[in-house]
Amino acid sequence: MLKYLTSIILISVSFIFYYSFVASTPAPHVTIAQRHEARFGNFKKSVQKLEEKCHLLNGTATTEIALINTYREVRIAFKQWEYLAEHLDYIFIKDYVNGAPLPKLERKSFGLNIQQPQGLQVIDELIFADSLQLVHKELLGEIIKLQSQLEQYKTPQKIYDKHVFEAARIALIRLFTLGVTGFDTPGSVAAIEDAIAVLTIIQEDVKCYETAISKKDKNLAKAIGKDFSAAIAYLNGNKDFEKLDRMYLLKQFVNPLFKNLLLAHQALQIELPSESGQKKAPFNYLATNIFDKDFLDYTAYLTIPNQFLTHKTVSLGRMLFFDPLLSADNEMSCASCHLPEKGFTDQLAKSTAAGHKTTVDRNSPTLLNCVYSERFFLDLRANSLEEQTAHVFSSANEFNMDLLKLLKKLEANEEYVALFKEAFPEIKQKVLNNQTIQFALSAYVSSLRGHNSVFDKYVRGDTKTIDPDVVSGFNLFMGKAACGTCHFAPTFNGTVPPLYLESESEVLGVPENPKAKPLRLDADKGRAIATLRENAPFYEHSFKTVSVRNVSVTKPYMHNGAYQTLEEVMDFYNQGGGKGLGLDVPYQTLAEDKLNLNKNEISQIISFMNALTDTTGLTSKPSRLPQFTGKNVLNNRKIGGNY
Amino acid sequence: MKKIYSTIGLLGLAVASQAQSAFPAKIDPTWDVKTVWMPKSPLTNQVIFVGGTDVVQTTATYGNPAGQEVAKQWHDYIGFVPDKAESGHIGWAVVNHEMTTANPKIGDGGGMTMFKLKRNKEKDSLEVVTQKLTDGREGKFFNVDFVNTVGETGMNCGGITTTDGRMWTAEEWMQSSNKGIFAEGKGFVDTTDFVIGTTKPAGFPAFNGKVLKRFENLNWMVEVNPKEAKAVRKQYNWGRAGWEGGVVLADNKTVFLFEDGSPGILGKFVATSANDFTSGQMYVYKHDRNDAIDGNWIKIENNLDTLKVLNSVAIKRGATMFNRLEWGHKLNETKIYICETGRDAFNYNSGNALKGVVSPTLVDGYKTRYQIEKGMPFPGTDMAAADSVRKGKFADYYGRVIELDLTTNKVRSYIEGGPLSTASASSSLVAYPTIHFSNPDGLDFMTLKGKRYMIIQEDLNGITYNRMPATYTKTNCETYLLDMEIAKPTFNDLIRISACAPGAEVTGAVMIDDNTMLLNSQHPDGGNTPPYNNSLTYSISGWSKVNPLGLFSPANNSGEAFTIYPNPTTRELHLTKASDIAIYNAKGERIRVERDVKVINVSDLTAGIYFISNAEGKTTKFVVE
Repeated sequence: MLKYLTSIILISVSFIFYYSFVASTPAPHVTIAQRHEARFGNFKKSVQKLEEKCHLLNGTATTEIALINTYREVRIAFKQWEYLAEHLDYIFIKDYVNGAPLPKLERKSFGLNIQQPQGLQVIDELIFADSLQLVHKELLGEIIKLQSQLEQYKTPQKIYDKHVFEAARIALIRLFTLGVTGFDTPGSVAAIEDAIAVLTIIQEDVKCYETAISKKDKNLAKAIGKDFSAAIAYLNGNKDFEKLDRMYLLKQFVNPLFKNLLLAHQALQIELPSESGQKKAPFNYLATNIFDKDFLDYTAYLTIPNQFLTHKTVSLGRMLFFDPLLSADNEMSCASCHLPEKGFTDQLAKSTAAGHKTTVDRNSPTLLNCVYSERFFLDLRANSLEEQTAHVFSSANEFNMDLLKLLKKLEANEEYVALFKEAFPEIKQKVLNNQTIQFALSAYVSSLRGHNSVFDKYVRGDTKTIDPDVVSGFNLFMGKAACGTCHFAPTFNGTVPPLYLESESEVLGVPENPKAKPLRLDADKGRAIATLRENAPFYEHSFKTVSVRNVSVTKPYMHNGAYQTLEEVMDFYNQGGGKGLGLDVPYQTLAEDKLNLNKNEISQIISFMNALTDTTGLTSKPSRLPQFTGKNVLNNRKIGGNY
Repeated sequence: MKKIYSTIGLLGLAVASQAQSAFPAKIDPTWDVKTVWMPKSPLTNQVIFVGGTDVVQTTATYGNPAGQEVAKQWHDYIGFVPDKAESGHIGWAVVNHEMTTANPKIGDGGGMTMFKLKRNKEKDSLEVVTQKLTDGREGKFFNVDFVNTVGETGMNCGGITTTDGRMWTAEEWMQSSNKGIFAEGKGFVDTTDFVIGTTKPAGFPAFNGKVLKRFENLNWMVEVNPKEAKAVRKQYNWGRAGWEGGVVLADNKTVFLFEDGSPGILGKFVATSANDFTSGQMYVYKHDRNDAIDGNWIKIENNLDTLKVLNSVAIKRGATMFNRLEWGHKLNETKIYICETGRDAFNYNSGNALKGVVSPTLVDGYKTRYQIEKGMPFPGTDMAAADSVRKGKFADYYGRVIELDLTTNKVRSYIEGGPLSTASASSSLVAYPTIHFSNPDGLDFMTLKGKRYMIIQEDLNGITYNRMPATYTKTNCETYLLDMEIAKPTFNDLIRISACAPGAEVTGAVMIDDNTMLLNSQHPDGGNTPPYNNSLTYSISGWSKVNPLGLFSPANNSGEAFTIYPNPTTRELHLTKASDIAIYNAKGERIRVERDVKVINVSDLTAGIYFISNAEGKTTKFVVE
């Protein structure tokens, strides 16, 4: 008994000793919060120095070099602060510090209020403009604007462990999708220096947890430390922007770190984002690979209550999708323009309109993976897939269908009524209504997701080999060709990483007919005429950035289907879009500079895009459509309609 | 002996956690000491009207015969007129639709939907009454006819309802061209000139025969007949502006109008004779004017060319410039309260705005912020403060509710939005506070057991500066009650009503009797139970059972350091001191962790057993009934 007691006392004493030792070093999140504050101070100081250097500009090379060198310090200081700052308050960074250098509309506005871009990306473009002297005044103005924003800014006071891990993992997505593609360094192309700064700072912060992680899993702690160091060493040895092997970076370092930081987060039993009472977010924190099929939670883009996302609803939606009953003439179905065998397009420049006489206004976009969007239609007019369907119903060129008549039609079909009841058992009122039709259709359309392309499988390591041209093409896509700065990985559409909350549209300057002489800009005003709220000049001719996944089966291309082949599309971009072709496109958002891609490079990029095809298991059609009781000519309607 | 062991175990846990409390991902659920009960809410919800799904009765429009159509969407203001005549009937509700779409049966642009409610005593629920209108339409929901009476409206947002049951609708989104409203046929199909009194029957005395470009026939206040679901006339003599709301006094002569603009103006109209708003005098507010006859108001001549560009005329003449006025309401005919929702970045330092004067409410806001940030009162004069505001030195993140005193004609900030940051010495924000009131938008009053409360609804302009907790990427707008007896209210006096928003954001709250509130749901999220979509009018009943005292967190009188108090009405748990908290489900799995909180919103927890642990490892059983 005495022995027992002694040992207990000994244990307690050693615990107390240990505790007092630990207590003397602050907890990791406290240290990191202090560092974050200091990094902000550093960043502010560097911007102040930049202002001084800008004042000193006098046309001599010495003052210009001094300015550029100081700008590099600013970038590093910003990147050191960025990973936590972005996570804590991404809107502030976007609006005032590092947003895209393009005008936008004020959020939640009371009228048409245009916000001019400001911050580092604007400064980056100015500093690396052809003549610093010409832009001197403008540059100084932009630096002062940034400075005054930073002066007023207050950082959130409390940083917890969860923030560090979340921020670090989101930073890895940012680094890969935006950083090394050159997205936020339009002038300086200092992307790799930036990436080194980001990785270094995250490694430094994660190191605060090393002992704790080690206690749970020695190998995990080791792997994290090793991968950070190796990634930094690799980037230090490969600073040529055009030559960087982004595939190697992704597979070797980014994905393993992305996974291991999650494992560490969980091992330490730190609360997960799902436990903080936040609304559902697209980025699925539990994903272990940026190219995982569940990397994005598709349900976050839907307004359908989760309990309705069942097999039954999807199957009902599929039935409706292929049923020409939905149109006024009982001949057009969703599948008329979105054919499964053609990658859910019709491979026409513009689809045939109701009545067979004319066409609709635009090219039919693929529905594959379309759910990963904040806005729908090529002009972004609908806010959800559910809302999108209503536009097709009411359009005179499409279903031309009165909703009440449609309901009557469907209600007369007992098989449909039963299917609706089965799919929505919780709905006590009239179950067949406009909303349930929308839910069913968008449950089906949102199920058209393919993540098993040759490319995906290789990135995830499911397969070990791949055509080297695909890898070269991917590296060009994400680097020299700058495709990845608008077609963001891993969806390769315009939904902006790292949070994937917002859909982008771009003004490319697509001609009406690329073969016509003289060339004319396509007259379609796009986003500017889509909604009264976005009737802004810079949205004229602006169209949604669609995914390049499945392009091998979804020709022709662009909003007007003007290009028949991917070679033609690549040539259009290689020349600098409409502006590069000599068209007057005042608000073109695509850089007008030539990309200088050679034939081989173009063919490699196409090989990469072709490797993004996956329609497996997604193309099946219903074998029959719900029948009306008794004799009814509509029972002979064709699956998919007659268009 | 066992006791010593467990102490050592606990000590070990504390060491591993290293200051920030780590809550184990799983606990043994049988380990409890005390139980806290969260009784059922005294309030119950009922869905009344679903936009885009329910069917409205239409009039003959654009050549289509009278018939039926699916109602428009995006609900905003609700006007309510009580029915005192018919027993059991509560009254007529009219819902504004903000969605602008072409519609051949309802009419292009925005719109409104009318329905009548009665109470079903046996079921203790509301019912929509089947009505027959004098124009022959019969049904439950009716489209308010604008097309055949006064011409289309743009985007119906706010409105006015008088005590006598007259109603006006407002549309804040200013339109500037026919091309813009046409939107290639998706907006307004008809863009021909509009001749007042000729194009549509409802003319206007003194302006009949005047020609307006089609877009210029938008953005006027429009009177509607709520019982007949028909527009009466566009109120051309009140001026065309980004009106969002207004108030009519009991004299049935005096009208106040609030503009959602930055700069936005405050308008006043005084009718020549009671109940006839077609003739009278229009004014705009200029707080620094002291005219022998007009006092703080500038007269606006009754000239259509002036009235159709009212905002710029008013400011050119030196009107007071507010920062986005939203909805307002009067209290006892002596005070008017208006939401000034604010705007992150603005200045009044160029163009026409140089001629206007900065509102004292913005000066109040700027001085309050200065005091908190610099730890000392603003040293200069009000003029100097106004100058700072004008020059863009006041980022109005949070907005405020303002008060217009009708006896003195003075405006002031009544309650400033917050949270505000700490003294400038630190570049950090205060920890995300329990109450975080920003960008007020909707405003009404309610009486609970004889006490007056202001109902304020947020519509957040952004998530930065603590409007949402750090790392949140979406807004979550809340509804608050404010006790009107509090002399100098601050945002700490606000009572959050989480129960009003089952996962969605709400707008349009209006009390239709002493027991029931009508609201509109907006911006739902996929996790919601149907039919909580973004175009939904629903009711919350049971207010007569709510003891206003119970709305506040009960006082701490147990003497214990850590105690939890449930508030069934607001669906919140109150802690006696700020703490890190973890909630576990019945299986002992951690489902929620909150850091440094005094109040936890548990409105999303379904009935069942939970466990709550605090940072010291103390666990309490928690039952949601």
